[in-house]
Amino acid sequence: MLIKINFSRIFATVFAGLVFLSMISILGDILVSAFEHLSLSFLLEDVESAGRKGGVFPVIVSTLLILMVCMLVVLPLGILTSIHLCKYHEKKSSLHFIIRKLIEVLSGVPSIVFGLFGNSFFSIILGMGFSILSGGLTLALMALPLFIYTFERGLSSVPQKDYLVGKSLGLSSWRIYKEIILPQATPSLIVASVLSIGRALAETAALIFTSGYVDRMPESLFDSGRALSVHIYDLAMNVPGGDRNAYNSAFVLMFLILSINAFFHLLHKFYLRESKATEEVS
Amino acid sequence: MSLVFEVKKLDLFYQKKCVFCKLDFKLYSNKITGIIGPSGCGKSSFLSVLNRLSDLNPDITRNGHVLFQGKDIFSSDCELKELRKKVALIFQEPSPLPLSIYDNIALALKEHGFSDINSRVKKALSDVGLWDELEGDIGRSALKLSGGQKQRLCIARSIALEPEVLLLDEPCSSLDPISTEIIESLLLKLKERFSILIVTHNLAQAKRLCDRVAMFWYNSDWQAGEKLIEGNADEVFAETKNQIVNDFLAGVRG
Repeated sequence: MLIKINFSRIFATVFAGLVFLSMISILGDILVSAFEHLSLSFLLEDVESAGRKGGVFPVIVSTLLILMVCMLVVLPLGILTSIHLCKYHEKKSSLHFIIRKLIEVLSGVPSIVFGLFGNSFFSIILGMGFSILSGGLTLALMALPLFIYTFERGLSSVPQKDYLVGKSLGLSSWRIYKEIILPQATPSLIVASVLSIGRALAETAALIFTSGYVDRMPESLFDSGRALSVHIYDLAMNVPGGDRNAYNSAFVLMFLILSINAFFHLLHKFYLRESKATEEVS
Repeated sequence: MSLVFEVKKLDLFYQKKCVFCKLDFKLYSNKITGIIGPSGCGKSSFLSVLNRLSDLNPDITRNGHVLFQGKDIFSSDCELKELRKKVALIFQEPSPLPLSIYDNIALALKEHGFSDINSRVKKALSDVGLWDELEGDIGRSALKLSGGQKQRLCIARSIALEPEVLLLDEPCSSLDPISTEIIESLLLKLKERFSILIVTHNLAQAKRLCDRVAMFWYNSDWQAGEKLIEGNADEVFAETKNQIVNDFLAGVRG
């Protein structure tokens, strides 16, 4: 018995250590390589010589614009779909079943397929061309399944009784969701947003075909723009002598993701403290 | 003594299984009417039909007529929002919303377009005796109240909307005797303003409170609930000819 417990412990520790080591080595590699060359000017300068020289300012702007378009679509669509799926008082219809299955399938589709779809649908059929708009919309399609999956769980954990009580007082569904259900589901809304943003920022394949390669400052949402992940890919694969700035850009991307996560983490903590405070105000 | 609710030949089905059949029932104004009987004969389901909260459960279907102030509540021109304002349902478990005490009451007032919300909140809380008890501190979370206070808040929330009928589904079953006593004396006071229908498992409570009593029973031939007897409380609680009623009231069956 004692030996068995020790074995499982050792296994768990070894594997946890392996995961930790691989993470540390990736982060460490990027940090060490980027640290030598990174400077503030890298963040603020234009891309020069296909990325070998200069900075990544236009790329950061494009990345944030693509992310903004993506989240502007994901948030309303995702919230409404989640509400529709979790309307616990309604009999689960075949429509619910189909939507649920589609979401499961979509979350398993490789990003390159989304890229090709986005290219033919947004860029060609809808005539958006290679643009930040079509890139953001394609990313939204990719992030939606993850968002809905996460947020619906959170919504479903809100007591069903609250909905019934609201209805028994004659409240409209709109008011019940706005004032009672959604405030309780805010933590899961934050988590779902963080996961979706992470997925969107990490995406390369879908963006190559939709938002394109152009590394100058985008003039509008209809202009092509290069995302950070695409920039890294391009520097590493297609630009001889681009390794150094590929590392630098990877560092910037990592930093961006970490700061967005940190921001939401703080928001989450702040929200929890607020809701606790309202309970404890005497 | 005017008729508020008239139920005619109401059948209720849960997933095609009959909960109760051919139910006739009358509710009179400014009286406390009690529904007694064992579990599983459809007392709570009956309450939820009266303000059509049962509509939210897709497993429930019904036949028959329920007239509220002479109008059929199942007809298509019945305004649900208005019906639920006039016929308030108070649940078995005290169920305040996770908001402040003030917002619990104000939310529904806003929905129904009342003005001077602050004074109405104060009035409702005073009616149930919470205003003095809380010393006007109504900004804190309703979830922090005690069980009895929560239930009184739920009653305040309902009466703030100036309803005609209060439906109470075993409102004291999760409360201690002192809180129960407070709620009971509150109900006796409120019957001057509202018609009250209360489901209770507690016969002593029914004797203390009710002017009229209806007894539901599980009919094993039908495999469904039925109403055995309905009448003035003193008549029902006095000897009757019905053996089942006598046995139930004497505590021999239940």
